[in-house]
Amino acid sequence: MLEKMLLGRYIKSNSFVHKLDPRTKLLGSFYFILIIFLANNWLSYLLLALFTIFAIWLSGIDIKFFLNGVKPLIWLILFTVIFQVLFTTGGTVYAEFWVFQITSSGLINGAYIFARLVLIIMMSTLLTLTTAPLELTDGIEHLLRPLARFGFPAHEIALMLSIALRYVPTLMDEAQRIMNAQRARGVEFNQGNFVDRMKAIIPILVPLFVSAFNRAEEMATAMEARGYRGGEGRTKYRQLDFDRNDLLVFVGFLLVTAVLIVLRFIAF
Amino acid sequence: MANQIIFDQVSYTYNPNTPFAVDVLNNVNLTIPENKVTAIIGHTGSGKSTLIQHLNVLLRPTAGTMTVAGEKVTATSEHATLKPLRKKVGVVFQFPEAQLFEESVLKDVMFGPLNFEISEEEAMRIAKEKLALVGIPEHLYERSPFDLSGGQMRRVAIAGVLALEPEVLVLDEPTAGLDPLGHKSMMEMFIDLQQTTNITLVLVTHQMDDVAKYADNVIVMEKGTMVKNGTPAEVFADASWLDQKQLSLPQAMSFMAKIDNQLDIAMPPTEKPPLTVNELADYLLKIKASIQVEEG
Repeated sequence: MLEKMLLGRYIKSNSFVHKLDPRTKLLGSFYFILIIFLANNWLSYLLLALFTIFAIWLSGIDIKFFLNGVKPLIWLILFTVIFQVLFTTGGTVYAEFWVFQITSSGLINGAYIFARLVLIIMMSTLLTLTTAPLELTDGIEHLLRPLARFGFPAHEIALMLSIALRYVPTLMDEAQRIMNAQRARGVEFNQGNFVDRMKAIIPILVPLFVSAFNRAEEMATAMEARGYRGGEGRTKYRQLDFDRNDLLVFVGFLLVTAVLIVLRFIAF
Repeated sequence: MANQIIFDQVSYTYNPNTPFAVDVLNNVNLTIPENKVTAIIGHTGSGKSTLIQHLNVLLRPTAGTMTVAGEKVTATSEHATLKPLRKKVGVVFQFPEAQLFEESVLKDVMFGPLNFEISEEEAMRIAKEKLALVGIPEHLYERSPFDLSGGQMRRVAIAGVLALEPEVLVLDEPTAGLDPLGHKSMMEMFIDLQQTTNITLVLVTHQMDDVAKYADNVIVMEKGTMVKNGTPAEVFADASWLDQKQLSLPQAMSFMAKIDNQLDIAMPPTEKPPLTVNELADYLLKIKASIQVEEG
């Protein structure tokens, strides 16, 4: 179950989106979240939706993976939408009870928020589905590098991210092994009330932490033994290169931005 | 001779009905006899680990039936009915020290019995008895298990499984990572326990010398099926077959084979070829005596 949530999210392929520089994809996703706030009417949301669908089509990944990405967050989205619907005033009032009002602008705002959140999640899902974790951390390191000049630990943060990602499957295996050993000693994980279930977690968490700390120590020793001395002067095996396709993506984003601005201020 | 554990056409598939389905056990038929020492050997990835997770029903077969301590277990068996079986079949997993979590050694050993609704005093009595059995001195009982040495942690973890007082004790490479002396004393402790309490012992190991020395019955696994079952003498009779399964001979037997092949000295035949170093020594002494008789 855990595997489905965290791992196996990257889907290997050779599509246009997969081959993009991870930096482009990172910046693109962030930029998308920014420009989505420019949208304030149906036409602009339609444009952004088409843009998202086009990006998904370029990745060659089945749309159902993206819908699965939205699924775990659906309650959060609905909660936000309901909040928006109940508390926005203005426009025609359709219903009223206690302090709440359901108004036309409330409904419209709710729909906008829904569209906005779903599109943002889909774009972020596109990033994680098409970018291998190591590529992602490489990209982050590169993007943060200018900050290193001001003493920001860019390399260290990227290293921490890659180590964390690297150890997710290892710790998952470890947790499974410990669970087996404790079940053999009579622990039941799926039975009893809430308190019982919480109690059953302690015999897993304690050994898991102990083993994680042991691993961290071994890893630190192994890194030192192999001469690790931080990021300074370190070269990279994987070289990131920014090519024509990346430029194309940025031009695409600029065009979309321009149209969004036009739709915001000129139309209506 | 009763059969403690019977596998009848047991198969196990991970992630069944998905594109990631992997067959790990494939139509396994085997019996583990009661009150005996059974060794399970096989190359890494042969399905040994999955097999032992079936022995105390952490996993249920996806097809077939297994009978554990008189209880039938199939793919549809209710989880609730399986828990008592875990008390009857105790499993010491590889590197069992990873299961320690309590604040004191004594509490950790009591954890298992308490889970099976045994009273506090009784659990404490059992725990002290098992700790003494594995050789943990009394002054360590109130210490944190994480303060102990690696070998002591291993012993405490084993005591934690022994405290369930199982009828079948399954050991998955119990001495991995121990020094030779620790290995020897721990194996002798298990064999002694088996002989005094007459439990069924299942030993998963890569050490053929242990198989030769301690096992009454050997099960050889390969690619999720049982490929051979017999006494150590029967299983070790065919060296080239073992080699093909990426398994080796016990030291004494490979010594004999080397003499045969490399020195080209024909050893006098015996009805029972020596399996262990002690048997080899006896055999060599016998040859020496017969030579002296001829010369004299």
